[in-house]
Amino acid sequence: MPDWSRRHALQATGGALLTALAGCNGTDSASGSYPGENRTAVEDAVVLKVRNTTPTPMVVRERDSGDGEPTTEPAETTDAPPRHRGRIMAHVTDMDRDGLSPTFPADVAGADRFAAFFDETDFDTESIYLEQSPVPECYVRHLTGVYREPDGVEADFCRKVRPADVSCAADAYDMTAFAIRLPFAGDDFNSVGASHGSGCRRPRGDLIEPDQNHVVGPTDSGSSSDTNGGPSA
Amino acid sequence: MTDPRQHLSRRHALGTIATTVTAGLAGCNALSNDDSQEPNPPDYDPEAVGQIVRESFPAQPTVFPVQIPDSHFQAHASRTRDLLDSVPEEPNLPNGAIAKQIGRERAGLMERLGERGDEPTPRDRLGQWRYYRDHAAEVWGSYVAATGQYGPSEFRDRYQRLKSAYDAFESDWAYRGDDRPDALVVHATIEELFERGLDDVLSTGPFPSDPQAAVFEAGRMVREHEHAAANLEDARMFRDRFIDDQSAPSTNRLAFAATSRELRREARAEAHRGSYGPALEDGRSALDANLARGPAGTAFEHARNTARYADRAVERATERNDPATAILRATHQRHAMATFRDVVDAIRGDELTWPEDASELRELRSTTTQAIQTAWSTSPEPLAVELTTHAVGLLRELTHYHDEHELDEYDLARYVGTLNYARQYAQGVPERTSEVVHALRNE
Repeated sequence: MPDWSRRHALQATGGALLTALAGCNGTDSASGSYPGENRTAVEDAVVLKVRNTTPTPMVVRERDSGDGEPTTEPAETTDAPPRHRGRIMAHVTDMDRDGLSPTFPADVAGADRFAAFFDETDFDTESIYLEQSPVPECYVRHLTGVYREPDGVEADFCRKVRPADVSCAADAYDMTAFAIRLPFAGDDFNSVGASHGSGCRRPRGDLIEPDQNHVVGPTDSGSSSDTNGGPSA
Repeated sequence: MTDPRQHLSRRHALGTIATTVTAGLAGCNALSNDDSQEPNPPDYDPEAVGQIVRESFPAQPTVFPVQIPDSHFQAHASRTRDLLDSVPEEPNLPNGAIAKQIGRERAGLMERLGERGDEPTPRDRLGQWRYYRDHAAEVWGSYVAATGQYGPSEFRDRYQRLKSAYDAFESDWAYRGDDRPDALVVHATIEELFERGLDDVLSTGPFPSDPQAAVFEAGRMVREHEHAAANLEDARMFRDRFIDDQSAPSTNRLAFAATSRELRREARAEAHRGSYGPALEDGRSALDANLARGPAGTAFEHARNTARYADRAVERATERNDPATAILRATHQRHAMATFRDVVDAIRGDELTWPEDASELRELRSTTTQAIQTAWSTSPEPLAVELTTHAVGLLRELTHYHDEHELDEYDLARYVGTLNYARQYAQGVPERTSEVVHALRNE
């Protein structure tokens, strides 16, 4: 197993997040601590949110497995049930490909948006909080806040059911990813967390949404599809 | 039946079981609150103890002054079924998750309607029907919001109707009833129904402007209105049936208000009697006794928590101008403080510890049951039963808990401690009942 650099240890993909989400009715924190203590809201973050109308991850992480073949993270991307696939929660502080870094599959709708977003990021002075997880087709996820802690970053999300007149299947999943550009490098950070609320009726903070919410589908090559506030966002 | 008050002093009332084992535990009251020095329970026969703790306590007598007619239960049931029948078994909605959840909620509630309830009293059974009806309304409300059949204007109309009905009920409410103690119990019940229902009418925010985008929130708000409607129907039934056969029932509002003022004064005075303040404020650390994990600890916590917070319910009832409830709560507050003092005395006297064996545990259970039954049979029974509710509720919780849990040492300590506390509380109920009756008749 390759030696993960400290900055790459900031990630928490797959299993760690699954544990935090299990049985989630109210709010859980994947960072293992209660949110709200010693944290300050990041006011000037830039957010990219893309919903892929298939459960296909738009971002994967590859690392050298030691035998010359790249290994995809999270490993359960293809084997796990749809609701567990493609989960990523990470604080990306550089794009060092010697370790574990995000890649953007060219054949997946929406991936190019993340590729461009990462390219536009100056990792000397900025970093990216990356969160990707499947969302039931009949639900929508919102980002309600992103916070800087003494040694890490944390984001708050909520989930709510889409309107009754939106056509969707109860057991189908889409994929939603958030990339949040933070105005600091975060080289000395060593934790990353997320809290997930089951309802958005009374968010703990203002909804933080990007100017444009993008929805992409299997036939979409990634061209802009602004549906901010629309039924599918 | 032997009245335990006749042969038990206040201190020894808590210690009939304990006295036999006190010798073996001599010196315990000098111990600190240190878990390591906690005396262990005797080595009980687990089968015998398990059988004792799972035995249910006697059913509360049905002495409430108003008999609830079957037709009233049936009206709730009919309304509940009408609401559910208006929702398809498998709702056909574009949003599959919403359809699935509404269908699941409907099916779950239908199933529960067919189950036989085990509510201890007719009033509890009535409360269960209100709950079913509310829940059915939530399912229905979510469905009609999802289908666009119910929106802000329908909600507003119902709000107006409910508000008018509550206003009309209140303006015609003079706390009538010829028998004042019975009227106290009936009108306290009505106050509770009225206040909770009115809260649901007044406290709801604006209905979602786009109900299809917030179907479950809409459902919850429809439920609150249904709860308010059901509560008012029950309140009206109790009031009307109570004075049904009285030709010119007298009004009691002023008398209740005056009585509540007097009893609240006495409750405040009770709180300052004796030197029990440190034990009340600081808890276990103020006692020079070993309480950790043992029955004394449980009894102490029951007594202290009840005595400390009983004033809140009195304040709430007073603020809401609910004189009947204020009388009952002030009486409870006063009695909770007196019971607390008795428990502290028993602990300081090292009188509250483990029964020596299973037969002594059974004896404790038996004397507790006797104390409860003596309290219940005090005249006037409806008032006495109402004043015993606190102790009976604790015992009922115990039974439910032990129905579902394996017994361990902590559970046993809780059982013994709760029995001691409930017995002590119940033994004081006859005296409190007399005080309330006396105060009511003097007004």
